Amino acid sequence: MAEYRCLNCGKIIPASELNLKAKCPYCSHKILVKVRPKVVKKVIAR
Amino acid sequence: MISDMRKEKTRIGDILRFKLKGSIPFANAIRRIMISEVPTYAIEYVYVYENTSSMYDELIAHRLALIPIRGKPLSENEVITFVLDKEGPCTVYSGDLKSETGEVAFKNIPVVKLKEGQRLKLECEAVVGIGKVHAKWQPCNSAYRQIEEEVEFLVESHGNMEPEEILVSSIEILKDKAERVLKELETLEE
Repeated sequence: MAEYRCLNCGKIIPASELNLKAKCPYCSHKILVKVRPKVVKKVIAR
Repeated sequence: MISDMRKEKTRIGDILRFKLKGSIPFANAIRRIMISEVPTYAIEYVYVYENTSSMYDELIAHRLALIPIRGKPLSENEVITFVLDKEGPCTVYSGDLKSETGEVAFKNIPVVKLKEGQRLKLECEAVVGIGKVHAKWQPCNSAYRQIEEEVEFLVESHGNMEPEEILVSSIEILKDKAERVLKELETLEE
C-alpha cells in the first residue's frame, strides 16, 4: 500500500485515506511526497 | 626475455616497467589480455535498504562498482559481500564498505555526501569478471613502445593486484589460448 508524507506537518498518510483531492487530512496542505516503499531494491551496478 | 624490471609506487597504484625481447604482436597480445581478460573482483549487485541521499540508487551503485577491490580471484564463483550503513552529516568513503572476506584497494574514494537526516544503508556483492564485459573489472592500464629490438612495457595497476601478478596471469591466459588452438588444429587434422 503506498504511503504519502505531508511536507508541512510530516505525518504519514496511507493512500486509502486520500480521496480524489490530494490534501493532508490533518493540516490540509496540498503537497504530499510519496514515501519510499520498505522493500529491498536490487540494483545491477553497471 | 624479460629484463630491467623496475617498480615504483604511486598514489593510485603500482607501476611496473620492464623490457621484453619479442615481437610487437606478442607484446600487443599480452597488453590486450592484461587489460581485458585478467579476472578481478568488482561490485555487481547492490541491495538498497535505505537511501535518502541526494544521489539515486543506480548512480550510487555505479560509483560503488568502480571502486577497486583488492585480491586475486582463485575461481569464477567467488563472491565478496560488503555492508555499508551511514548517516549524515558526513561523506561516505569507499573505506566505509565493511566485509569479512575482502577489502577495498583505496579507502579514501568519496561515494556520496550525506546531509543531516540523510541515511544510506545497503549491501553489495562483488563477483569475479573480466574487463571485456565491463570496465569495472579492468585491473590495469598498459602501454609499450619499441626501442630498437626491445619492447619497453609499462603496467599501471589500479590497486586490485600487484602488476607482476597481472603479468603472470596474462601470460598464463595467453598460454591456455595457444594450447586450445593447437588442440583444435590437431582435431581438424584427424
